[in-house]
Amino acid sequence: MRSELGRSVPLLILFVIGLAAGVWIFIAPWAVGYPTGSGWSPSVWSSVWAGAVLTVVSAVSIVALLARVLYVAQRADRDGS
Amino acid sequence: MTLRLILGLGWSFVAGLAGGWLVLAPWALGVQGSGDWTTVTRTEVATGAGLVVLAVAGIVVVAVQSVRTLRESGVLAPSRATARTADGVTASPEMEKALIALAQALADDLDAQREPAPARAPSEAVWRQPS
Repeated sequence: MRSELGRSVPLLILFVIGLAAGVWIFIAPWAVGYPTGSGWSPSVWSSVWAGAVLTVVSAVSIVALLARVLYVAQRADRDGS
Repeated sequence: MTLRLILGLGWSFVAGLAGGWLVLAPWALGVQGSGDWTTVTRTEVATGAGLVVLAVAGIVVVAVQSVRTLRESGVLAPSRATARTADGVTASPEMEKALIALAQALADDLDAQREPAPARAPSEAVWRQPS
């Protein structure tokens, strides 16, 4: 259990940083002030898509990894009792 | 291990692709001309480079954990330090010197505690002549 958690921590940290980076990339066109004429420019579309994909993939990875750690912990408790 | 491997490599792949695209996007989309970099270009290049670094870090983490798991399961040979310790050889010369000094001290202590042989009187015959 401790081994599983210890080995998951570095990846969890990376995924959380990736989630934050994805959110930043998503909102960067408005935060930085990308030039927009009529509608979204190609740079805004590019940033929004890249940020959305990275955010979704990071969130799914975090949920899957945490679920795995909790499953292993629950199984260890059941085997121990 | 398998889930961590898939998640780590998959996330690194996506992050690396997104980072590489963000670095190239200003030129690929024709937003950046030949002059000084605009604010958009600077932001996208910096963010993309950071993502590429994160992707490389993810690959390194997965590789290190995979090698460790393979060593623990016996598929790969253990590292040199682990093998020496497992063979019963001390891992460091300092430890070897300390053990030798300890053994010497124990031997001296045993010698000091050993009782001397009982002294015999000079008149006492060691053996008797047959009469």
